[in-house]
Amino acid sequence: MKNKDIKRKIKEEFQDIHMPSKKEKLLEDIQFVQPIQEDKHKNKHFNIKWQLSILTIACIYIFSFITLQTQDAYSISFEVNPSIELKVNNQRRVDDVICHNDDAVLVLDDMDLKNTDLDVAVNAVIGSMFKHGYISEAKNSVLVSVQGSDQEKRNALKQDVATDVKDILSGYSLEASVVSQDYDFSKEREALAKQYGISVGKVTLIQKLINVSPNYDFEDLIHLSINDLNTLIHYKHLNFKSITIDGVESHSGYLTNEQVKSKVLQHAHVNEESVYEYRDDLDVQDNQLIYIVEFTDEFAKYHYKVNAISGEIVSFESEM
Amino acid sequence: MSKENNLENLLIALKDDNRVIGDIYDLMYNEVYRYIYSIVHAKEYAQDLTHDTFIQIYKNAHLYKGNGHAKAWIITISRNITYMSLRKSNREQVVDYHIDSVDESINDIHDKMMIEKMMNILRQEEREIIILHVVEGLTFKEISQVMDLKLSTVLNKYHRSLKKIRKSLEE
Repeated sequence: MKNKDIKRKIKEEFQDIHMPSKKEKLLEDIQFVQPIQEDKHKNKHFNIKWQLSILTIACIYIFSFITLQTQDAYSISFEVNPSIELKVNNQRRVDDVICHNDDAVLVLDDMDLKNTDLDVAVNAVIGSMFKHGYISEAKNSVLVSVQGSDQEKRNALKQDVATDVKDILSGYSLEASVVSQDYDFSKEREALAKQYGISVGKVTLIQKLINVSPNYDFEDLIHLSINDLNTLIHYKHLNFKSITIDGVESHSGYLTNEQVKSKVLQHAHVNEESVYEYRDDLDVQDNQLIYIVEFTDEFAKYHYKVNAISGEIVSFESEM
Repeated sequence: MSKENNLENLLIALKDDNRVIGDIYDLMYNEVYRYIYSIVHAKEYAQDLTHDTFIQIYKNAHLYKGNGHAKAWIITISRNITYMSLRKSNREQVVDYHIDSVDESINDIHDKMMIEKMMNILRQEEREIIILHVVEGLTFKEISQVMDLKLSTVLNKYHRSLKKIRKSLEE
């Protein structure tokens, strides 16, 4: 039997089933039943309440949407000397790319990183920095900064990106020193970054450094490279709760302690054998890493400041 | 005017004129009864529930939205009344279908082969879908709303049920 025939048969059989009409009984019974009347006033009132509820929910939704957009979007900046900032959404996709200096424009070239996955963008940015020579054996420090309102999420993001950077550079046979930090939005830091044309990440790092070494001026540090700042942190034995440093920064671009000693003794016409007190320290002056050297021989006490990179003697004096 | 359109107009009119309940009853009482009977399998019980269904229609006429699904609305009320009653009396498990020889309208069991097949091989839900579509003429979408099932579920169950009946007839 076909479906059509089955359906016809079912219909026929069921249509044979019927009951005697009990209409009279129904009409009798409904005399004692009061139909529920639509309360128009109540309905109107309900409608107003309903509309208000919808309006309230809409407001909450819009507010939450705006808040979430603000709170949950992340900014990840990479600072070497080129300073590049990636605005990242909750799905870890790049919404916007900001170049904070001319070097950053050169690094990005014609790359369009918008809407790419974060790991793809990190690979492109770090790879290009390496290929353009901004990251090298002599300058192996990279600052990774993550800004966002959710501490747990931004910390996780920081760790992921820092590991990625380390791995990418390891792929180029370079042992990098990755300095990573995370923080919440700050109007003050934004203003400083804008004022000095550097990234918020670098502003934050400098501020943290000043917090533990208050003798530094903010303006004395802004032109130091990340490798310089990393080296300074290392030499000063500074530790920060909110900063992670993975790997050792390169010192190959700086004079060694022995080179500095040789330079100042030669300049002072002092034999090494006649020196009985010698002390050097790495420090900062006018946005330059300098060695501050003090030594004494039988005739005088000498004070030198030597540029740690160029070897230039910045200043000297002697006390007889 | 089609029966569905007529029913629609009567339900809308019932909001202001309670006398039209008699006309609605005339149009629908057998269909409501058949549907309820297919669930409860007992003549007297089905008749009582049919009566209760029309009382509810009368009381709640103001809730009908006039959206062109008058029959589906009435079937929904009858379904709710039936299952509510079955839950109350806990008769769902107790009542077992057999063609009622007392019922003068079903006096020859051999003439009701298809109903018997349905009752023996289909589950309650499957029977309902078949009856609502084949006998009462509800669309699958209306059935999905009446039974609170997904449209795809209704369609699957419908086709599976027909297949079961066909297979059973072939044996």
